[in-house]
Formats: sequence, structure tokens, C-alpha cells
Amino acid sequence: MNALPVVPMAGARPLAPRISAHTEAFWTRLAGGVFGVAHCELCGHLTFPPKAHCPACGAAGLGWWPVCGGGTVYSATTVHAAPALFAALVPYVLVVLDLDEGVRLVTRWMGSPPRCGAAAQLVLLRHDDGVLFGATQR
Amino acid sequence: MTREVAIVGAAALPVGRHSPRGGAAATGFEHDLLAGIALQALAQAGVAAAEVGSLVLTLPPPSTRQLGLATMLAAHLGLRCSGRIAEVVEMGITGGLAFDQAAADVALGHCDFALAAGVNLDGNVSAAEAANNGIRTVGDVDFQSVFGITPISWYAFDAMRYLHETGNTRADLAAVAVKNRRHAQHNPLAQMRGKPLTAEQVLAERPIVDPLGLLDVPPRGEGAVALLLASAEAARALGRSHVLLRGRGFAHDGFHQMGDRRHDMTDFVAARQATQQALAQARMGLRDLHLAELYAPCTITEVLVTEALGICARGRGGADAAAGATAVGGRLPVNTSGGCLSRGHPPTLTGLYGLLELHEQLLGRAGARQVSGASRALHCCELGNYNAALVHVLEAAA
Repeated sequence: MNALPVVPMAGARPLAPRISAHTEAFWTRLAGGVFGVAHCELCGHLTFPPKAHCPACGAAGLGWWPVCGGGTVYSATTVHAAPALFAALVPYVLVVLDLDEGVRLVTRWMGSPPRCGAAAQLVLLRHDDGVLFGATQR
Repeated sequence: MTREVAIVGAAALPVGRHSPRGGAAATGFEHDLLAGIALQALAQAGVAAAEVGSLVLTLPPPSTRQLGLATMLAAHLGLRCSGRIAEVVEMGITGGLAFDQAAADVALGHCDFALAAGVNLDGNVSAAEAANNGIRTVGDVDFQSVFGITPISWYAFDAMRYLHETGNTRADLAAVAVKNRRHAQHNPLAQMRGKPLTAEQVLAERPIVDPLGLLDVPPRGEGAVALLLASAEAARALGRSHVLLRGRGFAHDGFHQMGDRRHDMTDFVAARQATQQALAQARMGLRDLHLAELYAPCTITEVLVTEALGICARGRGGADAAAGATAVGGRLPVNTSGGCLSRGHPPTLTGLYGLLELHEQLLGRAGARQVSGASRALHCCELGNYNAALVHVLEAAA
């Protein structure tokens, strides 16, 4: 499995994610270029955002399933009226993305707004203060 | 013990700006504005404050200066509650939830009269500052809010997908804004009264969240509203015209904004299920209704909910609005108040303003926007991306 492409980002993240004992591994792995969705070893359910308990069967202690990074844009929007925290980014593009593994997530899109159905690729956004993930045209 | 429930009084401030601008003295503080409105609703019914047994308020927005409003108002009005004093909240469904809780208190015999009310003053913070909170409500703070996904971004996702799947255009969505603005011209409570609108104007406005422009999304609005509920028996004893609650439904699609698997985000399943449940309880069908108030912050939202409920066929919500099928005089008038886009959308109160509109309509008090012969109506409000819906069916008492 190839590491996610890295996109260098100017400045700090507008809103930094908190880190818990459970989610720390996600961000550490992401910094190394691996995107893992939460994986229930008991029932096999894959889910994102990560949760401490499986939404399908309730089991605790979910592991991480590395995804290939490919996906399809379900929908997209460009935000022109942003929260104060995100004012410097305007306009920015958001997408609902269906990963090839079947998991749906929402993330930032790098590049011109995609059409519904566009082929996409997860990327690693490297900010001054840490990492986030995003997606771009595949 | 469950008893039949009635609405016997309703009052509201016009939706608009009520908090003071730039150092000016306030026309009234939160509790003063709301007390005045609650007293109007009581006077309409001829009910004394001391008879009210439950006070259910909507939780005010985070920037509200005066908190603890429910007990403060109970003390201010001289209530002696034996049922409940509470503030309730969950996103856009909040106003409907206050009504639902007050109705439950009456139905369960906790009280004979209950006030469902709220005040929404958030003009003390800018839209951009308020949105710093909004993004934390409509997403996972650590994995979604970090991208700046505003509440209406979710409706924009719906809109983009809907246009992609149906071949509709922005002009089809704009028809909803134009139709609702026409309704608002005759509503004294409407924020956009006196400001007629054309589809060209909607399409020419600046983009907010593509494909939605400024007039596809609601203006910021403040307000205060109170509904007085009673047991049907107590309502009859008052000897005044009133409205009866005939059916109630609630459903949740199981998602917080969206699921972790592929699903059709443009199909508002919860709205359809809650509506079927409420109509079944009321022993009615869609065809028995004379009008509906449907929570819809954006043009696309009204299109999708009218389609989910079967009022319009898939892909036809905008065209039906343009043709007048969902306008006063049409097949089933929707949002005769002007809806979120033109009556206005004080987010925590929209459900209560919608129910108030139906109360006016069913009592024949809606003036130039009156749906002729209206006796049965449906109200639907929602949270998230219509992930949950709460529906009430009302009928004018014979």
C-alpha cells in the first residue's frame, strides 16, 4: 500500500482535532501517510469517524483498517460564507466521499470543485501545527 | 392516562431584528419580550397565568446573555407549575420539541394548561461567530467540524446531488423562494414582508454554499413565540374556537448528518415515516390535508421534504412550486407563513412559528394568505439533514 500523497499547507489548522487515547493512533498513522478507518474485529464493521465502540455490534476496542485512499465523490459544495475560524480559507471546497472500501466520509477538497461521481484520492494535509486529511482528483 | 390536546392561544413577535444595534438601548430583554408574548397567548384564551401547569421553553442560542429563562419566566408570569418547567433542545427540531413536550404533559394529565414558548435573540454575535458554534453541532468535532462544515453545507450537498440526479437547475430551486416570498407578503409576522422577489433575483445573488445562493438560504432572524395548550376538555370549557392535536409521529434515520455507508442523502426517510405515523394516528391521508408547514431552511430542503412526503413527485418539487401546486390556492399549500426563507428562521423557534401559522389558518385568521376552508393541517420539523423528523397533525375543533 502506497503512502497518501502529501499536500503542504500554509499556516496552522483552523480548528485542530482533539486527541484521545483511542484516536491518537489514527493521527499518528495518518502522519505516516496511512489512513485507517475504525474496524471492528468482532463483526467486521468499518466505520468513520472513529468511535470507541462499534456502531453495529457494540464491541469495544476497535482496531484500524488501512484503506487504499481511492474513492468517489458523492457530492460537493464550495463554502463562500464561513465560520469566523475559517474566514481565511474562503472559498473552500467540501466533499462527501465514498471510499472504495464502502465507507462514507466528509472532508476538504483540494483543487477546483469536483462533479458528483468524480474519482478521488485521499491526501495528507501537512499544516504547520499538525496533520489533517483531505481529498483531490484521482 | 392520555387525554386529547388542544391549542387555545398563540402569539409571536414578528421575525426580524430585536436585539439592539451598536450600543442602543434594547427594546426589551429576553424575559421581557417573552413574557409579553406569553401573556398575549393567555389573554387570547382567557386563561389566568396561575392555571398554567407546565412551561416548556426552547433552549436559547449559546450567545444569549440571560440564561435560566424557564424558571425566571415562570416566576415573572406568576405560574405555579405542577407539571414541568424545562428548556429543551436538539438542533432544528427544538421548537417542535417544546410543543411536543408541552402536549405530552397535558396528555399525561400533568397539567390542564401548558405553555410551549421560546425567545431567540442572537444578534449580539455575527453570523460568522455564531457559525463557530454551529459547525460543532452538525458534525463530529474532531473529524468533521475541523473542515468548517457549516449547517447549511449539508443542505448544499443535498442540492448538488439532487441537481446531478434529477437534471433540475438552480432555477427550479429558486421557485420555492419566490413562492414563499409571495406568501410572506400577507403575513404580518414575516421578516421579508414588503419585499417581493423574482426568480432572476434569486439566481443573481452571491453564492453562499454552492449551488445555494443568498436567497436560497434563510436570513438571520430573531423572535419570540408562545403557544398555549390545553386538554380538550379544558379547551371546550373555555368556549372559544381552538385547534385539536390529532396525530403525532417521530422518526430518526439513525444518522448524525450522514451515515458511514452509501445512502441516498436526498431521500428524507424520517420525514416520510413520521408523517405516515402521525397521519395513521389521526386516521387521515395526505389527501385529507388542506395545508402543511414544513421546516425547510433552504430552497432545496422544501423541495426534498415535499417529495419525501409524496406531496410532489421525485424531481418535481421545484416545478410544482413554480406552477403554484404548493402555493395558496394550489393542490396542497406549503409554508403559507413564508417559511424559513421569508417568514424567517430564528433557529430554535421555527417549529413553534410553524405551528402558530397552522393555528391561525385553522381558525380562519390568516387574512389574505388564508387557505379557504382549511380545517386539517400538518406540521413537520427536523434536525440535522432531516435525519429526524417530528410531525403533528392538527384539526380545527368543530
